[in-house]
Amino acid sequence: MSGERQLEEYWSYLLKKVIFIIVITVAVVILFLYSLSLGYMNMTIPETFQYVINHFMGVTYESGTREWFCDHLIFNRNMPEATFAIIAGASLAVAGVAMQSVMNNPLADAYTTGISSGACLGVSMAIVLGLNILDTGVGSRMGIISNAFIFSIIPMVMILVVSRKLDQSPTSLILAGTAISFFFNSLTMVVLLSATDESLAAVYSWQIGHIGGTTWESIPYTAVVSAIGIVVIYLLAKKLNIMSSGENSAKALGLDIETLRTFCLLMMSLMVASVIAFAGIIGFVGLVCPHIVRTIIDADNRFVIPASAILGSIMLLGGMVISELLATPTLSVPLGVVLSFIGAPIFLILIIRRNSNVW
Amino acid sequence: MSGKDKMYTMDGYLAIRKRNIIVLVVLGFVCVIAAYLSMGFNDNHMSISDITTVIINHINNVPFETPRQQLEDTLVFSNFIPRAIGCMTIGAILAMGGAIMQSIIKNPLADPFTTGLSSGALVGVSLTIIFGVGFGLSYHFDLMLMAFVFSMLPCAVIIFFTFFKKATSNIIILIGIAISYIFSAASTMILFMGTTMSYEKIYRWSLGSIAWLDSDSWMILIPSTIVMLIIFIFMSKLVNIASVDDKFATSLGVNSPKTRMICLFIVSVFTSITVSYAGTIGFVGLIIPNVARRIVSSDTKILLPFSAILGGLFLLFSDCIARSVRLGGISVGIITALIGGPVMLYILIKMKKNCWR
Repeated sequence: MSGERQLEEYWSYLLKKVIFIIVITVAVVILFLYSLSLGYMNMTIPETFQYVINHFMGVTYESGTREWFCDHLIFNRNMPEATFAIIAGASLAVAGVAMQSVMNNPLADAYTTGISSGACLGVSMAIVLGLNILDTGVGSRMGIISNAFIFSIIPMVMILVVSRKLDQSPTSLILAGTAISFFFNSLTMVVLLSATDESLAAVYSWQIGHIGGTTWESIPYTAVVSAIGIVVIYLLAKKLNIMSSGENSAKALGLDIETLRTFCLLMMSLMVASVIAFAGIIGFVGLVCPHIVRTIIDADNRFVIPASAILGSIMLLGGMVISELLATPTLSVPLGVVLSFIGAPIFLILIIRRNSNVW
Repeated sequence: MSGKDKMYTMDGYLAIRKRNIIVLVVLGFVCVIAAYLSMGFNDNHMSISDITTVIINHINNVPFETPRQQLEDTLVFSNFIPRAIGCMTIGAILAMGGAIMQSIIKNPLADPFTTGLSSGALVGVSLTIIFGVGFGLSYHFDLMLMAFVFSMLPCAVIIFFTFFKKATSNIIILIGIAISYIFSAASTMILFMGTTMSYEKIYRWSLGSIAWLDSDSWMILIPSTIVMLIIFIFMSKLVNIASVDDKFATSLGVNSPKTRMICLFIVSVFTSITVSYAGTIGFVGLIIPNVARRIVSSDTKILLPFSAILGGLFLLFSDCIARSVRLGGISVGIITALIGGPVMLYILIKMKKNCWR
């Protein structure tokens, strides 16, 4: 009898999570269609939908007509950007989940621990100085990603080393991460500003994230790396669950903590690097999304990982839509600013909540 | 303050005080010389001796013979000298602000930048620049006043969490950093709304730069530095007491929370003045007082002038680097962050081993 009831409870427990995931998936699709309709052609959503279907049906338009322009806008500008936002958001959010679980710190993510800033330095080295560690030709996309990855390892190792020397509180680690990211950000600026005629503005836009101008060519690289990363981390979900129950009990259950931690951090660095190589530092996605998901469907990583991935897509896509809507003809509001507006208050709430938990 | 053991402690105390005063005088001298030499770092190929000639000619009222001389005179008096003075005074104000905040929040990482005061002030400055929001005073006083009003927001948050939530000091710093994320996003947004501003100008404010100081900025900056120093020298005993345990302070008949609020208020005022001139320059207030504490002591009375001079020297030094990185220079805030990040990390690691006094 009680076994049946438990099973029932378990099913309702699963159902809630599955429903949540379905709801946010639908939200992504709607947001995706809406983001396609944006831009100077003033399309409505059904109209956009029609264009998308027509495109895949193989309908072509005469060059120069309104239809042709709409088609061009959707498939060469809006769709690559939106697709990239979906992939990048998912990747960053999953990287955040992994980092929070292995560091056992709800405030940790690539942005707050400085890993993104290190990757950004790698990107700037690759782009500006043509200094690729894996020599695959100057400015080649794989070269940029590998450079970003290699440079993101520096802050990662710093965080691992420092985390042993700090006290156990999560805030100290994040303060250290902030210090590291300040250092790498200014290093990036010095490198870019001293080596090129690049304006301060162009450099800054790398440091606060930008998706505008993404083309289809750069998407496969990010997509492949992100997909591998998300799948691998999803396969590790059960181990991550054990990990977040605390180091001692994880050890007692026979988990090789150090290897798992290093592996996950490397994996997430790679994922983050593949995003940053094209979009610059995008903050707060990896911090905020897993947290929202956990408050709604609890901390089971088997569900937190896919749900965070989808929510990450929503956040990045939404941020992109908002920044597009706010843009004036002369100036566009950077995506990073919009994300800070959404992310920083939630970050603040997280810190304060932790504080009240401690007391 | 009683006379017991006076003979014994008096000698030691006087010796230390004498040493400190000598060090201060020497450092002050070094600072002035450094400021003078710093003018040699410029994009106009003017050496120190050229500048000296220009200044001497200016003092002696020698009439200009060539347009070149006219230009050089303008350059020196409306750019080089205000900039050197700006570095010294802004550095001094920020460093003093840091020293005071570290004492009252009891955390070596506190400074006007990490607690979000500067970013708050920058929101006020942006509002005035873009929308002309103000109090109907002259443009620059409007800037300062708005900066001050908006720096009160993070100030209130800090006070709230220190007094009512009894947050640990590291959490306060992290809250400050989160607030500064929000405020810098807000000011970037505001600055973006004004279409007259270029991107370059917008980021110059948020990174902090001394390159565009007005030629008469020293008329505000020098008095503010002196006033700030004097106020806090007078309050030094209260600040010292506020930096120890509150119960102990109460037993000495001192209302530490009140001292803290007053100090935060004063620091906000002067931070706002620097922000209205140079944007948010980070880490000066973080690095310098920590260095100064190692050299002199944590006694506010000596720490403060010492931090002020070191802060001025540090900002001069950073600005010289910022000027020589490339033609036209880069924002000095980049250089201070480059030095400040590792120092912050070092302090964090040290904090665990040796509880901060």
